[in-house]
Amino acid sequence: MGQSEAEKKPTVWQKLDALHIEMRMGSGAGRTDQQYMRALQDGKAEKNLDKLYYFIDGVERGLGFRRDPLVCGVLEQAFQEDPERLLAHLENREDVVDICVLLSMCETPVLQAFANLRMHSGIFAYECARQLFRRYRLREDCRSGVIDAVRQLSEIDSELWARWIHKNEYQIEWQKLLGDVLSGTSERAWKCYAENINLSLGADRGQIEAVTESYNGMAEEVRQKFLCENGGLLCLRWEKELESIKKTHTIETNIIINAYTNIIAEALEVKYAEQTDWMREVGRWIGVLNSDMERWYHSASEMSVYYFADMTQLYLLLAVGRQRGNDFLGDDMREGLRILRFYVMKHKLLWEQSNMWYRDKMLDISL
Amino acid sequence: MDEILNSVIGKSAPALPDKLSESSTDDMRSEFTRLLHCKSLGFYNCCEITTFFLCDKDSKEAYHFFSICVFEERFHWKDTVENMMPKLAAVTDRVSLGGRRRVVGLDSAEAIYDALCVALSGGNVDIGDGELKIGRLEWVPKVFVPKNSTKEPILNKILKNNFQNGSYILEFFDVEKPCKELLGKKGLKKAADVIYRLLPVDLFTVSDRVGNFVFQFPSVNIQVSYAANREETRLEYYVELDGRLREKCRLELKSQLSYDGNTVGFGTAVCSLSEKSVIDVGDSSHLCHTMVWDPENQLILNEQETAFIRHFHGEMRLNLGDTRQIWDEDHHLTAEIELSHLDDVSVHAPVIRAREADIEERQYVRRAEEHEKRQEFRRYGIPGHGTREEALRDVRSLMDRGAGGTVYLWDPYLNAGDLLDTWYYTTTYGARLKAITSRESAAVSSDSLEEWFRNQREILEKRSDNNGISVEMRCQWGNYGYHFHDRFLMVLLPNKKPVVWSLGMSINNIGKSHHIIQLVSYPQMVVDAFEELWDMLDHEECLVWKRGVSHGAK
Repeated sequence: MGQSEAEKKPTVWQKLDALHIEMRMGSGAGRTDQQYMRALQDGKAEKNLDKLYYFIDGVERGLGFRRDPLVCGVLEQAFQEDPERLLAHLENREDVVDICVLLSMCETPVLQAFANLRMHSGIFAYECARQLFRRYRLREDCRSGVIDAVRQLSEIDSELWARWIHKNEYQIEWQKLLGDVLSGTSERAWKCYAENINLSLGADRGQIEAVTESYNGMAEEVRQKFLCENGGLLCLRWEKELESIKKTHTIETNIIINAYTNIIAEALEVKYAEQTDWMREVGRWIGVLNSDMERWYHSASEMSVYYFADMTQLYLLLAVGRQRGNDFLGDDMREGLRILRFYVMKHKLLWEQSNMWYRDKMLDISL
Repeated sequence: MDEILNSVIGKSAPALPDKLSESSTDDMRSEFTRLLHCKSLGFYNCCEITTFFLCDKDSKEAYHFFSICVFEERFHWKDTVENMMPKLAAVTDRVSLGGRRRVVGLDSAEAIYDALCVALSGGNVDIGDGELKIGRLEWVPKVFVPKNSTKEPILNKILKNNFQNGSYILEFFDVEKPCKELLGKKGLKKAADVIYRLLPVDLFTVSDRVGNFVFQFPSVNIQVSYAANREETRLEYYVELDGRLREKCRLELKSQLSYDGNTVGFGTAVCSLSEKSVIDVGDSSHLCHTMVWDPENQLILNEQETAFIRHFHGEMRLNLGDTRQIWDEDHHLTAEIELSHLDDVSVHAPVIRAREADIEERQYVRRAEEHEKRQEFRRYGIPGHGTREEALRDVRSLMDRGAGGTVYLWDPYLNAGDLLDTWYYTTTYGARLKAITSRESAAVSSDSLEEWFRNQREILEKRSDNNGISVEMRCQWGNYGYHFHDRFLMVLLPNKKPVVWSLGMSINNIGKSHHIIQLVSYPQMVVDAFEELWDMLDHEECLVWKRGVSHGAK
C-alpha cells in the first residue's frame, strides 16, 4: 500500500534533522574575510571558542547572518508544536556556529521561552544569553530573558559563566542587570563571579554608578549573604590587584577608583567588621605605606603608583571605619593617622590639582 | 708659576700641605653642617647608609665599592642594619660583592663624615661595616643635582628618589679606585648588574663614581608648581613651604626662558609663600629654566627646566589589514605589502606669536638639512657599495617619506616594472606619485609608442591588485614637452621645503653599475622644472596610466 501525500511529506522535526549548515567563502573574498574563515576552520578543528566567536563577531559586525525565511518558518513551526522538543533539538547541536545561526533565525519571544525552560547545554545557554543580550542592547524588550538565560548559564557551566563575565563586564547594560542576575544564582555562581570580575575595570564611562546601582538593587539579606561568603575573596583579590598595580609603572595622580570600588568597600566593611580587626588592618597598611615611602624608586611615576595604591587602600579602610562609626582613638590609631597625614602632606604635589578633593577628604577622614 | 702648575697637575699625587689640609677640613665640616642643619632643604632626622663592598678571597681584604648616605625625615626610624643580599655574590673567581643598609641618627652620620675627612690619603676606613680598603679620596664641595626634567643629570642614576626638587651632594671621590683595579672591566659590569638588580643605582653607566662616598641632602621642604597665563606673557608660581618653615624663611625665585639661542624672558621674585608669585617675563612660551633659592644660606632649593607642550605633531597610522600584492609575469605572488592609513592627529595651541612660524620653519629646514646631509651621498654598484637590492630598498625608503604629501619621479627610462619594483613597495595607503617618463623607454623595448602604452597599462593592471595605489604617469614624446635626461626623486610635504635627490641612474639600472644618489642643494628649482613639464604633458596622448585619488593638489 502506497504512502499518502501527507505521510510522504517530512515532518518539521525531520526537516530540522536534515538541516545542515555549512560556511563557505564567496569568490573574491578579501583578506579580512579570509582571516575570519581561517579562524572558523581552525576554531572547529581545535574546538577553540575564542576563534569561533572571532568569526561570529566578525559576521555580526558586518552583514550579519542571513535570515532564511524557509528555515525561520521551520523553526517557528517547530516551536509552536513543541518548544521543549525544539530546545532539545537545538541543544543537541554541538557546533556553536550552527546554534548561533539557528538562534539568530528565532524570534525574540522564542529565545525568551528557551530561557524560561530548563536548559542543559552550557554552550547553548551561553549563545541564547548572548543573542538575547545583543537584542536587549538594540532596545528589544527582553530584559527578563537575558537574566533568566544568564542565571541558567551560571548554574550549568562555570567556565562559560566566567567567559560571560570577562566578555561583558565592560558593557554598562550588563552591569545594570548584574544585581538581578546575582540575586537568583547559587553560591557557586557567586564565587565564580567574585573570582572572575576584573577589579581594575575602569570607571570612566559611568561603570561605577551602574555597578553600584545594580548591586544596591539586590535584596539586603541577599547582598549581605553574598558579601559574607565572598567578601574575603574579594578583599584578597583586591590586595593582589594593588600589588600588581604597583608593578605597572603607570602614573597615578589620585586615589584609584574603579567600577567595583563600592563593592570592594563593602567587602572590606564585612571582613573588618570587628573594631580590633579593622584597627589592625589600618595599622598594617600604614606600615606598608611607611615602608613603601622609604624605598628606592626608578622613577617618579613608579613612586606615584606605590603611593596611590597604598593611599587607596587606606582611604577605603578609613571611609569604611567612618561609615561604621568605628573608634579612631587609641594611641596606635592616632599615631598611624599622624603618619598618614605626614605622607599626604609630604607628597602634596603628587596629587593632581583636579584631585585635591580626595586629598582633602583623605586629611578629613584621618582627623 | 710653572712650578706651582706642575705641582698641581703632576701625575704622582703629592701629599697635601698640612695648612691646606686643615683649612679644607674646616670647609668640609662647615659645608656638611650647613646642608644638614639649614632646615630649608629638609628637616632630616636620620640617614640611610647603603654600602657595597668587595671581598678578595686571595688577600682576605675587603674593599669599599660604593656608599651613598641619604639624609631623610622619617616619621619613625630606629637604628637598623640589614644585609642587601642573603649571601655574598661572586663577581669574579676571586672577588665577591656584599652590601649593607643601615639607618642611623644624624650624629652617627656626622661621625662617618668626619672619619672620611681624616681618611683622605687612603688606606683603610671604617664607616660601620668594618675596615674597608680605599684609595686616595678627594673631597668634592657641594653640588646641586637637579631632578630630571628636559635634561637628565647623569648623577640621578646613583641618587635616591631625586624627584621632588633636586638634591645637594657632598662627595668623597676615590681618585685611585683600587676596587676597580681588583675587579677588571668584566667584574665591574657584573658587580654593577648585581647592584642594579637590588637598587636603581647604575654604577656601570656612572662608573667614575665607583669607590666614592656620596652624601645626599634632598631638597624636600618646598613644592614648586607653575603655569603660564593664556597670553603667554607671564609665569605664575606657587611655592609651598613646609609649615614649620613659614615666617622663618624668605625664598627667591628666578626664571629664564630661552628660544632660538636667545633669552626671551627673564624675571625674579621674592616668593610669597603659599600665594602665587607672578613674574612678567615677556614671553613665557619657551624652554623655561627656573631656580628657587634660600638667599640666607645661599642654597638652591629647586632647579628645573620645563618646556610647555604647545604643539603636538602626531601621525596616526591605522593598519586595517589592507595589503597590496605584486605578482610576476606568471601571476606568482612576489610580494605582499602591508599598507597603513595615515591620519594627522596634530594639536596646535592658538597662535599668539605669528612670527614663530617663520623662525620654526628656518629651524626645521636647518635641522632637516643636517639630517639629510648625513644621508645625502650614497654610492651603489661597486664592490662593497650597494647592490641592486640595497639601491631599491633605499629608493623605496626615500619614497616612503612622501606619506601625507606627494612624490615626483622623473626618469626618461621609467616603465611599469620600475614602479612595481619601487613605488608599489611603499606602505601608506593612497600615497600619491606623479611620474614622468619619455619615449626613450618605449624605444628600448622596440615597441611602438602605442603598443608600449598598452603594455605598461596591462602590466600595472595584471601584476598587482593595486590596493591603495594612487599614481599618474605621463610620457614625454614628440612635440609634447621637451626632451630630458634628468633622473630625480622629489618628496613634497605640506608646508615643508621640498627634498630632492638626484638618482644618477634610471630606476631600471640602479645598483647595477656605479652611480651616486645625492641630495640636491636647490630643490625648489628642480620641483619647478618638473611641474612645468608635467603641465606641458597634460594631454590624453601623454597619459600612460592613472589610478587612485585625484591629483588636484600639487
